[in-house]
Amino acid sequence: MGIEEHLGDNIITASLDKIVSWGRKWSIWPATFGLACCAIEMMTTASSRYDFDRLGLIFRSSPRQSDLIIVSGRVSYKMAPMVKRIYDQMPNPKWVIAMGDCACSGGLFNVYSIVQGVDRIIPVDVYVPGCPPRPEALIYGIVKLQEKIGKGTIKHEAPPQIIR
Amino acid sequence: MDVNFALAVIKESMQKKIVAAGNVNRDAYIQIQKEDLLEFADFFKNDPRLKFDMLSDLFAVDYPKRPERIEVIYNFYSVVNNFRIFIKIRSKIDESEYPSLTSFYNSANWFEREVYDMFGLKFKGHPDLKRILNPDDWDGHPLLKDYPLRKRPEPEEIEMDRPGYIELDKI
Repeated sequence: MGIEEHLGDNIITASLDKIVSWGRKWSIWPATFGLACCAIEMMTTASSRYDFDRLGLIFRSSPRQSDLIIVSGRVSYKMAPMVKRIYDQMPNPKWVIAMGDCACSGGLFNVYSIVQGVDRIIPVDVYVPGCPPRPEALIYGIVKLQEKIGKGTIKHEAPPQIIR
Repeated sequence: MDVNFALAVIKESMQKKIVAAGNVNRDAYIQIQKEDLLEFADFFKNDPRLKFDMLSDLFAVDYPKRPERIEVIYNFYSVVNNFRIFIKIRSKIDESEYPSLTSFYNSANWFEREVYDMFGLKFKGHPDLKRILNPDDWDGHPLLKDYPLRKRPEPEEIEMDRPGYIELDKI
């Protein structure tokens, strides 16, 4: 049965893609970044009752050490350059969760000052609707993101582009 | 002492300069001309019977159907005597220059910047009259009733080089 015959019983072989994706999906490090009331819900999800740590999510205080940004709240046109800048500072591979109605589509703020969905600025992987979403909803979004990361590859891919 | 005492004191001293006065829901208001505002503020702050030592709010309202569209409302509060009074000034939109109260009340600084940002009223004598809520390069004054409700910049128009933004590819 191939190379495994020669390696003995205490070595397991697997494809490198699966190993690396497995490592990535159980060690997603989100940037410490909150915008509005959804950020309070995100903090609740991170703290002991719901507990991000058991999924391997540990908030990092620098975008340069993180690979996930949870856009938690409405993005105003004044804040948009900062969101974009934090996203650009994160190293590849990187993922984005749009948390809450406002980050998904502008929500109830159909007004002059709010960006109508953060996907106009940065490419979004998972949308979590709700106003604000329950911690269970956010955790479901994380699980969906983990599924997506699990199908990933270690080959160099071009960073995702905004679809307009 | 309640606000009716204050109203009586003001009416006694400034009778000729009051356009209208009254009570709404136990709050007193006085309507004046904007040329007299500095005189009123000086009187409110320094009169020993009134001692309005705090400007607790300053805001504007746009009534598009009135000939004098803009109404600016000043909310003075006396911490010593525990009463407050509202000063109302009406003006046309093209006569949008007001005297600044920053020489009497420091809290007027940011209030006046907010009114300037949202309504475009100029405050003469303000030390640093610039936008406070909207981005510095914003177009128009959003709380005016003729500002388009859903006017937004296109995503391509958002300047991503503010503040101190550097394209990472170019480093």
